[in-house]
Amino acid sequence: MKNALHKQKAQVIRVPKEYAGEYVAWSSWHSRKIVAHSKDPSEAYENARRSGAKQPVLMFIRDPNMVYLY
Amino acid sequence: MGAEFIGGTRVVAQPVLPIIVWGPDGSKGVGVRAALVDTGADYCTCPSRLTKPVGYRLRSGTPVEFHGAAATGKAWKHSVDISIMTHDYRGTFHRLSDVPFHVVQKRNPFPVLLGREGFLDQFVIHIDFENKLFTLELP
Repeated sequence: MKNALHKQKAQVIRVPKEYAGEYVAWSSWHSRKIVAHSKDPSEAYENARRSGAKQPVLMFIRDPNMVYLY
Repeated sequence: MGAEFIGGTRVVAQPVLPIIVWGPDGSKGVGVRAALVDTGADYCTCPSRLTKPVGYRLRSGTPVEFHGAAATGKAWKHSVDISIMTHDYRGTFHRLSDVPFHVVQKRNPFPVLLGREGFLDQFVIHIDFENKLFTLELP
């Protein structure tokens, strides 16, 4: 995907299969380590904050076998 | 376009955007790595449990009837500021103010949906599934 003048290689996000149907949280945009997960995005956010993340980044994992390209 | 397999993994190209949903006072935001662009949706929609940590009180919004493609229900309309991140996540591509958001109190989690009013109608959008290319341009 590109937006306006930005072009980028497709991003591949892989998550463990047990997180299907849950929100996962990373501590920042550039972090690869998942710090929290929950079906409740509020809980995933707060747990990520408690683990030290200043601005957690969330993603809903509908199907962990699916790789999202963007 | 059907799913492809790369190294045994099913790959489906979806138009998604990395965004930050800002709280009402602008001091706290929640990053959403993959908000789903939904060209069939009239409004942006998200679960209430996503906006709660950044300060939105669900019932302080305007109550509306929510009509989705597969479900209907009650939602509360809030005005939300959104930043769209650049693809290297190092900055903001664009910031939109007062986007009408339907916040839904639903038990089952679902992704943030980016709909037409106040969001998609601000851009020129091309979706090329064949070449897996999603283009978002400012008019």
